[in-house]
Amino acid sequence: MAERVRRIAGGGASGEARPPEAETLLQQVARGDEGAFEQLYDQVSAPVFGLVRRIVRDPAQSEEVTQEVLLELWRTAARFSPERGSAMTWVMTLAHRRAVDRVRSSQSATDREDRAYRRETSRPFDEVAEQVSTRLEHEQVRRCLSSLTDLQRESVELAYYRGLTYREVAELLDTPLGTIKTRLRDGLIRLRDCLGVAR
Amino acid sequence: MTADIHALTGAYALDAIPEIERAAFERHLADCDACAQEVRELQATAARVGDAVSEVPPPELKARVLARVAQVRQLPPLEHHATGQARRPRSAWALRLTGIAAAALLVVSVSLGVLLVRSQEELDTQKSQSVAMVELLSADDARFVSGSTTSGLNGTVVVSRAQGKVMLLAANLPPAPVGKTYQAWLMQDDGSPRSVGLLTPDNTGRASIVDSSGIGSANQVGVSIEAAGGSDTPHGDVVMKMALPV
Repeated sequence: MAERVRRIAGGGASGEARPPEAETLLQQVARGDEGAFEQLYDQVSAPVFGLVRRIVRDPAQSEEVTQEVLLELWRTAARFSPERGSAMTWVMTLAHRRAVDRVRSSQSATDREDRAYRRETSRPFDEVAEQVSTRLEHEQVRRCLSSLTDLQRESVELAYYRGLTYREVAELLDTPLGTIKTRLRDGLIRLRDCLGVAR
Repeated sequence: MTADIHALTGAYALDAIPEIERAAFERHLADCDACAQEVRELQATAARVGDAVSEVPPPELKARVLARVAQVRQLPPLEHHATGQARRPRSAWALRLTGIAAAALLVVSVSLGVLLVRSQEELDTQKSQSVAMVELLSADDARFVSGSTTSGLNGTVVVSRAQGKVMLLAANLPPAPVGKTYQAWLMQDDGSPRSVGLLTPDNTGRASIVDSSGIGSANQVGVSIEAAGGSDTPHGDVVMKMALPV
């Protein structure tokens, strides 16, 4: 616990204990510090790659997208503004966006053949649950996900882990658009409260 | 802010909004602090969900990324904090000019005042148009149809009969001939066309218009070239006509 407290309080403390916070690293990266970028890489590359891989699936393409995201962090570090959220949120939002861009642009061609297939494989929760790591943090996310209603959870996972639009989610789950929009929102709100995300 | 628009915060935080709706929703976000705050929280929540599937990338990726970094230029920060700049000492010459400048400024600001009033009106129109757009795009019965003419003009129509709204988006629309304007119409088999409004393409050839005054029995949307200011009924050449989606 003491360590945790120190981690929250300490930014950029060198030597023992924990590596600097992503926020601090981003500031240094913004000034062109390649060493700080390497540390940032070590902190964010696994979350970024994991999320991208979940959406894109193809390993080679996932690596490409991960590389794009990391270079984007390097390029735009000076534009990060902490008032709008944590560094990790910024990184993951960017990673998700890039992964979704990748699948949506290669998607339109194969859309029609895909639809039947997607109908059969519309239960990502089991795969997700399987792969969710045992780390405490991840456990908590899983526990919170499983506290959602089936429709909330399925909608959130299809949208977030598969990169579908809410219209596609509605189609896939045979549910009216308005219902899906509402489930995505109230599902996330429930997750937010369960995970204790700061208001 | 209607409940319907607000419901899109979840879909937005999950990147589950089609591109065309994203832009409209982002305009709405700029004006809705409560929505923006909720989006920030839900994005932070989504990030946690993303972090839960973390997976270490192959080690060679690190070397590749670090090598590329040496070749990529970094963007400068956005300049919204740039205030406390050191003032340059003013010369006597500059001081003498100040009086003249102040007089000139007065003239400019009076005329600018007039301009500002007008652009506030324009902003209000734009704002209400983008609200109507978001409402329409998030309607349960929203239907889309797209088409293009042989001359390369693209049109997309979105319609919600339940909300009585129709939106027309045009691309590759050349500037209207001098003294003329484009005018959009809702047309039906029985009865005369009803004007939806004037379409003015921007310098990239795009134009859009939203109308919320009901669809009635209309089954077509058309665009014609009319005298500047528009007409009560279409007289000029029809440049585009599309069947409304059912």
